[in-house]
Amino acid sequence: MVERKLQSATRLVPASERRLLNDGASLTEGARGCGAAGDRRLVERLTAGLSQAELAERVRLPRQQIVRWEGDVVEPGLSTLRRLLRRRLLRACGFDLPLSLVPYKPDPEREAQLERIQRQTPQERLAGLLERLGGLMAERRFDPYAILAALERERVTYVLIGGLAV
Amino acid sequence: VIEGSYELTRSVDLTPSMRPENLRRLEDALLSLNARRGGAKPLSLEGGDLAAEPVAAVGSDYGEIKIVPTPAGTRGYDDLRRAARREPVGQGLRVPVASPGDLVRMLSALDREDDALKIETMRRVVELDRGVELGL
Repeated sequence: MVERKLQSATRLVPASERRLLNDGASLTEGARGCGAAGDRRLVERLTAGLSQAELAERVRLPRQQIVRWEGDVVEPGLSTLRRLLRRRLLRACGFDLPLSLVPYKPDPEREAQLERIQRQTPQERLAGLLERLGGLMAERRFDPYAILAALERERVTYVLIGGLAV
Repeated sequence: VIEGSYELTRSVDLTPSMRPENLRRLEDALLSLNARRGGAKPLSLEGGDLAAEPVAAVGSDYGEIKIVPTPAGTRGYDDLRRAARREPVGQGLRVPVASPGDLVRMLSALDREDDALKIETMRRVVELDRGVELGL
């Protein structure tokens, strides 16, 4: 019943209207960056067809805890996620939680490299990339500064992803 | 790169807001870079064509630009902007960059075997980044 209700809600209720189902509480606008966006989506979907009080009852948590998830004050913890999994709420919302121990071999060289890069400023990191690319910038075949300057000059709204961001 | 990995890239990949006014501004920016698309495709970004393409690659006098309206595992610009940060990259530029956590999310959603090391590296970047935030 709950699964049906959730599946139906996530499929049929547009995001703009889902907010109305949440006792007037805001979902994720103004998030403070505590939770990953995936967690926020989970919370949105969990609450899509249930009020905060209903969801709290189903996962046997205080309603205040749901409010804290939605406000991005805290992330749902592992034990909570496992509880959601056991109650089939997680899969009903289109998520799964594969959890397994895998061998881990530390690579000291890579670790040292990452720590060194982490101590650099973003400016130094980009300059480092261009140095590694060799003469491409000198030949003007790749000039990210020119591209980014054009985007900023035209006041384009965007987020960098992929290669340059990573 | 900006967030602390040591990838090599020769393109600027971005997710724009898909509002028509913003696409017009993006088109103006691309025209100023003498941008062109491969084949017979017009540069015009309006008319809904862009949203139908997973990645629109555009060549320019200053390098390749990849426009990705909805990166894998995300809901596009409005999703990514929440955790994005404006980073100073030099030459007086401060540009919005997706958070390391969102970059891991995108790579994981692509589910490509070749990305395993990249994901592991980015996860470590996330850990180091959080450590810096906590003053560790």
